[in-house]
Amino acid sequence: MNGLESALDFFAAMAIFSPLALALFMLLAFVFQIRLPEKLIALVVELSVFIAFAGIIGLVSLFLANGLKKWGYEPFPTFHLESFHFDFQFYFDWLSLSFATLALLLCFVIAFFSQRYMHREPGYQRFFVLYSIFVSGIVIASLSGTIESLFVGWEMVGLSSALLVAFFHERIMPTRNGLHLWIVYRISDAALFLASYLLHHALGQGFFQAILEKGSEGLANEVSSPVLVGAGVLIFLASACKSALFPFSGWLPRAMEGPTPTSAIFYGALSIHLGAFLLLRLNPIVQLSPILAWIVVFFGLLTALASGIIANAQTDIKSILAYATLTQVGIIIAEIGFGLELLPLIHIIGHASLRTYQFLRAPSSFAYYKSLEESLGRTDLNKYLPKGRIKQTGALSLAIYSFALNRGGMDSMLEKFITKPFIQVLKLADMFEKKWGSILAGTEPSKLKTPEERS
Amino acid sequence: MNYFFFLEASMLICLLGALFSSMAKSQEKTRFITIYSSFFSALCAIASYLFFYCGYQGFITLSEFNAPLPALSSTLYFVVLLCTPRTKFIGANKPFPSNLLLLSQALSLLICSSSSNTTLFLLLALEPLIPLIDLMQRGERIRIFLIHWIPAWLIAITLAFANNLPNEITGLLITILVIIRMGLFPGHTWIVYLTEKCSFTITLLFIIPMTPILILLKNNQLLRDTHASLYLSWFAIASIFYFAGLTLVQRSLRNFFTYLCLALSAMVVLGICSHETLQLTAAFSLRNSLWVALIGMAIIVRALEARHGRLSLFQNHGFYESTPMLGIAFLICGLGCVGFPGTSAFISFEMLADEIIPSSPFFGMIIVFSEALISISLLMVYFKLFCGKKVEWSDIFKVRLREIIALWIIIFLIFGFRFLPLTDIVTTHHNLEKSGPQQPH
Repeated sequence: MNGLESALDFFAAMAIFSPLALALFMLLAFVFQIRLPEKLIALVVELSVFIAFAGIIGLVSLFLANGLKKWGYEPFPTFHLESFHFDFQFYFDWLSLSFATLALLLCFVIAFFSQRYMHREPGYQRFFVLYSIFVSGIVIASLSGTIESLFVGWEMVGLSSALLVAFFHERIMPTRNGLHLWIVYRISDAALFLASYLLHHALGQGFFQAILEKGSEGLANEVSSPVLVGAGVLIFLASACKSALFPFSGWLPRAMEGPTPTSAIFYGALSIHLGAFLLLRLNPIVQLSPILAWIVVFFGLLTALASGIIANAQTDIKSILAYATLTQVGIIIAEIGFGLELLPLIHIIGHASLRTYQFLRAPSSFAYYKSLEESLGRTDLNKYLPKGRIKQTGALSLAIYSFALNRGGMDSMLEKFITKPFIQVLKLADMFEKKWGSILAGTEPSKLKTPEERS
Repeated sequence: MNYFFFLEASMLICLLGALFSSMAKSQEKTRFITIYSSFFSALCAIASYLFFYCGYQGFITLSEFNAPLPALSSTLYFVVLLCTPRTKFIGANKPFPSNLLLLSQALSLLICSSSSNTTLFLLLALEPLIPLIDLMQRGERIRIFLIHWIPAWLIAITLAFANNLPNEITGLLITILVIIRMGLFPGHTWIVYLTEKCSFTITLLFIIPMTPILILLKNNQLLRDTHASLYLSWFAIASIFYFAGLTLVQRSLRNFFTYLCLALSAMVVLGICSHETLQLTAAFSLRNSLWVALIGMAIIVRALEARHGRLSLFQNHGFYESTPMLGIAFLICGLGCVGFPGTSAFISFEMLADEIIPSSPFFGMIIVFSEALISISLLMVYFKLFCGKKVEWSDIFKVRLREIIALWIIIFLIFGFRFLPLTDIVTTHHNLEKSGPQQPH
């Protein structure tokens, strides 16, 4: 191994293992019930994210200095047993390095912001435990070289996001919203798992490098197209859930129940773009079928349009920002569907940076307006603000307004046609179980009373 | 001295412990004898495992396959007993079945280290006597238990002693026995009843180890030849989906736990219904990982119920602020149950799905979908139990050091079980391949 390879491996290890070590340290302290002081937590978090960021910068510098285009890093040997192999590998190219740089930079900013924002919050340590799992997950997902390692990062991001949405767990609503997010993410995980299986069995491996090198044409020659189109559809489903595309957008405004830093980093900047990143990474598979590519474009534009309309009827700043984010994500997805590569990446970087700023600024915006009002010496600042974006005149306008106010009716539609019938059937089955059990046992079915029945 | 000496000693300690604890005059003494018998038995079982690992061979040969099982089994028994609240032993309305537990531990050690079909079938017939005795001691009805177990006992005894049965009949009888004992749909009703009426400790130590897996492994060839494994896999897949769905609508914590166990057990059975060594390896490794994770989950359920009585899932309880350790452990055990990355079940789950999908894409999709349902219900129950308005608990309800130590052991096993000698997937696979799926021992 020459000096360059050693240096690349060293920086890669810095970028990957520093967040993992942080997650492990925070998790161990949490499990062993060791209450760490706030200052120590902040120091450790910032230091480890900084080390990871330095590792990524080191890699980028080496890539630029040596004109490298790609580099594979295998920290662990492949787990191989007969036909089963689990490859935990990482792959560095312009896409993964750009996304990881963005992710770590934003995570560093948020860590800095959060140590003050969360100061004296009872769940300070818990917040940083979940934050560290998220950082590890996003780094693994963005730098993954195989679909297996991507899956690991994907799941870590999902779990930490759901628990962060439910961070203020003494209230019911955040936990409900956290669960809603978890449900959508589990659909995404299941789709990604099945896609990874299809890719594995179609190509004999799950390496991104091999997929990217072969390109759409190479893949089409090698593998039967229904298998790859199936994998493409599943990848799109996984991305659609993660990026809150129509009709899975319902979780996005709900996710704003979490602390502001998490809203900024996860739903404004990183989590929401992870689906787009996955599509971008596996674009050769999406482009393999023109129909699938057009479906991606269609859902991207539909999401952009619907979110643009819905954003206009929202009454709180976080929801407006959430739907504005979704509008841009829809456009990014459409760009990917068109087969573009560089433009969506630039769009992701610019958009994520802007939204992080806006989300972090959102809680203090009222104070800002108040101070502006005081300095201007006017009481009616509203006349300077844009208004009347949707005029409530005519049936069409009213219908659009109603659509926007109901957030597209996506949640209620999914609940009415999918969730509710499924749960009803299960409840019936449960009732039957209880009756059948009591008949066999010769007893009355035991019954737990609802709080209403008790009262 | 060799590993066999320690293995025998661990069983003997349990049996003597059961005898002395039933003769003890005070509840304090019973508790003392029970915990220490279990502890020394666990020590002996661990010593037998270490001796085997270090190469001290005796006149009876254990294989790498089952060498870790007695140690794991008795450690989990000890962990469960260690964190049993003192109030369960002393001053409880219904006597704590200490002697039955020690008997159950001795039986479990025997099952884990037994090598012949006859012994396994006999032990399988003996095992349910323990919950049955407990039900009778509690004055509960046993009709549902007998409806299921009278045919199962007849089958087990027939299989143990009748050597000349045609293969088709043997396959059919094993299928019926496994459906009843593992609680596959539709033979599961007695397990739901058991968790409601029997001592929870007895029930969890009876259901979770999934002992018929050893019988399925041992008779794998026969089941394949008679197509019984195919029929069993249909029962298993129906059970996985059905029970995973039912976990979503349960209103009682205990019932949720029961259906969770049933769904995951069915998943293991589905994995075992194969002649591919890789799939068998995945299923067997998964079983060991689930054994640990489910015991952890059961300990938490029991700890909460010991303080708060039967818990409903109608409303949020808000236990996190009072008992964060239980909340963290619940989440970790839940993740261990669904094979979250980093837990010991992760690779087993991946491998199992990866092996099942090519032979039957439909089964594979059901497994992935059911796993998603289970993980959703787990987080839902976590939120119901640990989130919500803070509940003020007096100091008497605080989690004790013993419980914390027990949960640390479980958490260590959930993350580190694969790294212990002879417990990794490669060793299991190597041993299964070497001895053939029909001869695991």
